[in-house]
Amino acid sequence: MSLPALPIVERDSTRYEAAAQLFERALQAGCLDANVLYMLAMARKRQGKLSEARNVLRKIPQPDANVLLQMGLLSLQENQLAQAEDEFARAWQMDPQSYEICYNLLLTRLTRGKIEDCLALLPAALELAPRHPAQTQEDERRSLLVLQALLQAYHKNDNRAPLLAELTAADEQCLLRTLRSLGQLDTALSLLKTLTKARPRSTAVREAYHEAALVKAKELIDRCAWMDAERLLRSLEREKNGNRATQLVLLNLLGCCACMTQDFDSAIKYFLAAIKLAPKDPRLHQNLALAYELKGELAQADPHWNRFFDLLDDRVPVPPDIPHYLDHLVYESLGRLAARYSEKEKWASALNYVQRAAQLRPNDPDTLERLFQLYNQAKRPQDARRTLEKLRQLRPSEPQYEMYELDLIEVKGLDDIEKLLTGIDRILKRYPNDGRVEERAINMVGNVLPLMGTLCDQLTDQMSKIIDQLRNLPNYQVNWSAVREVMRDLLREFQKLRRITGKCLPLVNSDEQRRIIRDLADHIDKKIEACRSMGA
Amino acid sequence: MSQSAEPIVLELAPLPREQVGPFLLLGLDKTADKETIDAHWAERLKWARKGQSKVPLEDINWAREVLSDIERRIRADAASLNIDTTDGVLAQLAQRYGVQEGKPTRTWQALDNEKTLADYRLPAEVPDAASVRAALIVPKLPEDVPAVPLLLERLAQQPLDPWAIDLKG
Repeated sequence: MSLPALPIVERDSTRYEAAAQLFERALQAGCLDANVLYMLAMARKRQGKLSEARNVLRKIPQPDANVLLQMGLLSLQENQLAQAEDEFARAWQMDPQSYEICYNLLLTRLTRGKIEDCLALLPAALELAPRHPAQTQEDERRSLLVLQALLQAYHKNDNRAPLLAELTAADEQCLLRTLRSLGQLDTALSLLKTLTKARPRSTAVREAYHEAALVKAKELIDRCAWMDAERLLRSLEREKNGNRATQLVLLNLLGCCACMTQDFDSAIKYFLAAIKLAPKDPRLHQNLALAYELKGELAQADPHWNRFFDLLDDRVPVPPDIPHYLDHLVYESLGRLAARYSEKEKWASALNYVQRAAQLRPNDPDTLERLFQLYNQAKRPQDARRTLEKLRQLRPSEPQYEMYELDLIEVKGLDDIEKLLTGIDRILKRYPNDGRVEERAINMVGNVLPLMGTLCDQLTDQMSKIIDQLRNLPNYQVNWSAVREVMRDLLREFQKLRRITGKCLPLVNSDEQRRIIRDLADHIDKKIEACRSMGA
Repeated sequence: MSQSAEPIVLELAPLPREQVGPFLLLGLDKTADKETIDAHWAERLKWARKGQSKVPLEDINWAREVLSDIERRIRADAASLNIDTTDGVLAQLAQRYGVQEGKPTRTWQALDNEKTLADYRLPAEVPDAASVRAALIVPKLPEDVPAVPLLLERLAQQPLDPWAIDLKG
């Protein structure tokens, strides 16, 4: 089935261009000779100008079988199978003695999955094949016979085809080559399935079937038809295949499908099995780590992420247009993992990944900023301060870093809040039109509002306890000087809190925050009044 | 109760697009170049418009947007599953079956029979000679040159001396 075909496009097309120009001039001068049109079309075909060649062939008033054959070949080249079939069929009607036309029509129909039409054409092809002057005529005829046997077995759904059972290795290879060359996975897969039933002991056939099924599964996955792909792959899983490479691909694809159908336990099982076959494949470790992540088991994912980073090397294919791709990939992966751990408030793990990212890019301000934040979260003020120093060296005029300095204040009481707000106010006045500073200031103020509320509640509780005691004690037992002393202290604290709310109000921008502050201020005013009435 | 022996498979809500990732949404390898990304995006747009794909149009556009930005693309790589192994075994298999850039293409060699042009005669319609002759119409001489027949008649009546003809001239 492997007769030499004439090349459609030739490398040196300059002489064809010269010829084409001459023919075109002849046509422009009024020449109506069909031969000139044909020769022009052939010149264009050899130049690879398929649509031009087709246009010229269409101008031939009475196309014969050969012209239609040429049109069919052009259609094939353009992957227009239906059109090619139509043109070959018309050519075949005109010249039923042409093996080339018959063969092309047969294979086009086979590619289109028209098994019955192929079976109808095969006797004629077999009759013509021996007359073909190629040296491989015996092989050609034999190949057609084998193909006929396979198509008959498929058509009748009968696996007892004696010819198929007796195939030589060469016959088998030739048939597999033909099926692989169809470029039509559904047809190839169906025929290979029939062949596996007819030749159950053939390893080559079984492997070919597995390969075709894997490629078909990939096609389904490319269309996001995960469940269909999974169904096909599971049928392969049941039929054990000895080939390590295809087994590896099968397990990986099953793992991917299981992930996409949210069966994470199965996905992990498949990826683990795949890693057993290829323990040094970084992409498989990445898949397993992602499956663990999707399942919510970040700690289990960790060792596989580390393995992924260790194994990334020149073997890993990268996009052609992005330089230093793998370095970027490692950096972004570390950053991503840090973010994942931060979301879960696992600061130590997050810090570990950002530290590694900072080792890769020691002078990257964004990374150092994240490192600073995480040191701060992990209550490591010394490391945070050191990182901030480095940031200041890298960006000396960055106003945000002054705000970072305020992040280092450990806010526990009213004095800390006051210190923080004074600092914010100072920085805002220094950088009056800096949007980022303003935004950060608003966030910081928003963060201390709950603490202010808590402190206010604590003072109110103290005051309530004293008032309760006063209500329950007879007047002569009350130590009024001590009460006044305590009330004076409470008054001072409430006044301080009131002053702080006054400072907060211009620093917030949302109505909700303003309402909270006003309510707090009203509450404090009432308490101040109460303190005074109690003799403070 | 259903009589079918097939188990009923419930389909869960799909994963969010960020978890599926732009590579899987567009059916791309992680090594895809810009041209391939655009081609796959255009193809999936067609599928979505024809209802041949479950992937929403906005996810298809989102995937292309992510892959067009280098930083976002690399971040997406870190968070996306790999359909193929590092050695690219699946890509090799796909190539063996004629699948190039996600599209199956036939790889069998067609048989050509370009005729030898020297001997080749395309069928051409040759007209019948009698009908061509019959179709020829000799124009009548115009009446506004009446002297021409008279002059021709005189010329024909003049005696002809064959020896006086100068053949060399």
